[in-house]
Amino acid sequence: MTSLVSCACFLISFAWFVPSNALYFHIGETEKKCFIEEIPDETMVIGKYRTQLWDKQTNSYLPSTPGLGMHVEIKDPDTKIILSRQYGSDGRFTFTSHTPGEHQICLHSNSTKMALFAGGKLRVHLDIQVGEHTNNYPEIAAKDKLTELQLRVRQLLDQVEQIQKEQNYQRYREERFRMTSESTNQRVLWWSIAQTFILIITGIWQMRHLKSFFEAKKLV
Amino acid sequence: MCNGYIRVLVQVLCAHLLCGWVHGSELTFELPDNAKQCFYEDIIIGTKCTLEFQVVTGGHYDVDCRLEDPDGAVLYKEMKKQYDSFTFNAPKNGTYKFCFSNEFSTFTHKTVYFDFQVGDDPPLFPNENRVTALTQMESACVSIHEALKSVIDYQTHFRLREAQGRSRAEDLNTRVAFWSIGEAVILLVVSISQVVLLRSFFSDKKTTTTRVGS
Repeated sequence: MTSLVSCACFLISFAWFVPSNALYFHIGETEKKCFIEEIPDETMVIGKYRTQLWDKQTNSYLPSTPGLGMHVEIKDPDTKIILSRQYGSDGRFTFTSHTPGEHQICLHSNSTKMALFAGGKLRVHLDIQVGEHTNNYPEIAAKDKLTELQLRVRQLLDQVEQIQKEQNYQRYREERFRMTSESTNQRVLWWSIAQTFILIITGIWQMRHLKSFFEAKKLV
Repeated sequence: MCNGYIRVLVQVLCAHLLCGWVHGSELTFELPDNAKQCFYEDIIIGTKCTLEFQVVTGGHYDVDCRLEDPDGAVLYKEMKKQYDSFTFNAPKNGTYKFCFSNEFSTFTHKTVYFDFQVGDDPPLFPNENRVTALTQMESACVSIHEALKSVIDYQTHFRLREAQGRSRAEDLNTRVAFWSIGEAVILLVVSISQVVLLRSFFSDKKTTTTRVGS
């Protein structure tokens, strides 16, 4: 029993941190890479990353580099920073959105000491999960003691809730779009009237001014 | 009872880790002008993979996309595409690379969304645990789950299209404001300078005639 529990704990902690076979990309050592997540409010986002440093001697990426850290900065749609923390070379960050909109997740390495090695490259494995994908169903099953069927229904409920939030967000976005279009419409209307007005006024002023000028010069 | 649940949990976690190559990544990133961004993924032979991308904002909403297998052979290559979806079965083991390029553009940044699905979603419970086939309730749940996944997928694409439309509308709005003010200013400047120029012609003539006269 205890061996099973410890096995389960080990597996959970392993799956917790490592983005097992995630997508990866290369960035320069001082380069900042940003990703955009457009999400409704009250949505949880979990990001896992793993970094590897390029080793010139072996011409390959080192499996792990202690001392290498990544700075994670997350901005909400109003460009206010909601998370700005330094993590190790393997990290996991999580946040919950409080306003709907475009959140920006930026990563850059803290390599001030690495700046000496010119042209250093980093390989970053990244996995970002949003909304109902963040739910760990085995954990939920164990915690709430659910049967298979109950777990499936719970998963469906989570999915439907996510769809509902997204629809709500869609309504808010459509309202913004409509307001922008109406403002453009108003602006075009008023500015064409104003421009016609300015044109007529300048025309009249020009003629009157020139007329009085020529009369003064005794040419007319 | 508790033992049973823990056993199920351990089996699910094992399955989750063994099927580690099965997952999907969707990311939205900004591609500056004259830049190329590549992503790599290790795939096992025979896995069904899907790459879908859409340009969200920027310029003519087009980007070059290229997908290569571990030996560098090009599996998919499209220039200046706005949206596409490509499904393939991995022909060999190794690291696959796909790149988005904005090198043809001189000053527009593009925001690109992509969704790279590798394999099918892991089952909620490992199949080894099943002694019988799925009950009707469970298979109904599975089909609802698939349908909801496709709803979420459509929603995502709709959201991206809407973001595109909205960014164009907001661009238009600011452009209309600036150009109206600009045009009004130009109009005033031109009319005043016309009058000043005309005045200057006649003033010079007047002084020359008087000088000649006397």
